[in-house]
Amino acid sequence: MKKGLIVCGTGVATSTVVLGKVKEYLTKEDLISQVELHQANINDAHSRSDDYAFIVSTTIVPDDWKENVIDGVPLLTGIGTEEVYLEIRNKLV
Amino acid sequence: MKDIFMMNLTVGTKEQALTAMCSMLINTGYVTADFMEEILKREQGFPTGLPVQPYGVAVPHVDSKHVIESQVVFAALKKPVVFQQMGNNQQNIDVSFIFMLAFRDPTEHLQHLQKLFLCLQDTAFMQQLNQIKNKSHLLQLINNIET
Repeated sequence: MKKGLIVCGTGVATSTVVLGKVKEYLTKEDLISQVELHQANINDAHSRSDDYAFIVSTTIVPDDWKENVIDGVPLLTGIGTEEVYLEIRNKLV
Repeated sequence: MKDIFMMNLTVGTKEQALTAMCSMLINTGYVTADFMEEILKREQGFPTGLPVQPYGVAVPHVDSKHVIESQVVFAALKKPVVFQQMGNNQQNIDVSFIFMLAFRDPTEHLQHLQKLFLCLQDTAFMQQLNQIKNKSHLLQLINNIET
């Protein structure tokens, strides 16, 4: 099963909101059964970044890490959400 | 949401705004004494400015171990101050409104957290933010948003 990671600076507030949004989207698209979602703060997540099909981040990520990272801030502002969902979809199917 | 702190601030920098807001939480016993230092430090490394329309908003918060009891502080700034954008510290945001989030346990308060972010995404809500008269008016606006 593919794995997805949601990260933010503290691992508690914005990633919780983003996790809810991503779950909602994946459920709507019937993709939720194909992915295991995890949540972490940026420091804890760094060493395990290769394990994930995608990472949605609301914080600054290290340079060596950028490949699978999707900017999650649009899911907080409501501006540009469809692009984020599309990127997640592209990493899964 | 049942309660919120509300402040009207005239400040020149984000540090002044954050200090005033943290002081309110510390003085009322909602957070630990090191909350202010943590907020200021975290804002440097992990900025919380959000480019919402028509006003920039910031949502400073820290690890819940610095929180004694959950509370949210809302500040309306007389003049905007510059924050860096969340996830992109090269980008400056003129912030007019700040929601400081002090949550004891974010999963327990998930509904409040989600509601606040839904508020920020709601253009009608955002347009009314600069006409807020008092705390009960603000709570009414927040609670009118459907989760």
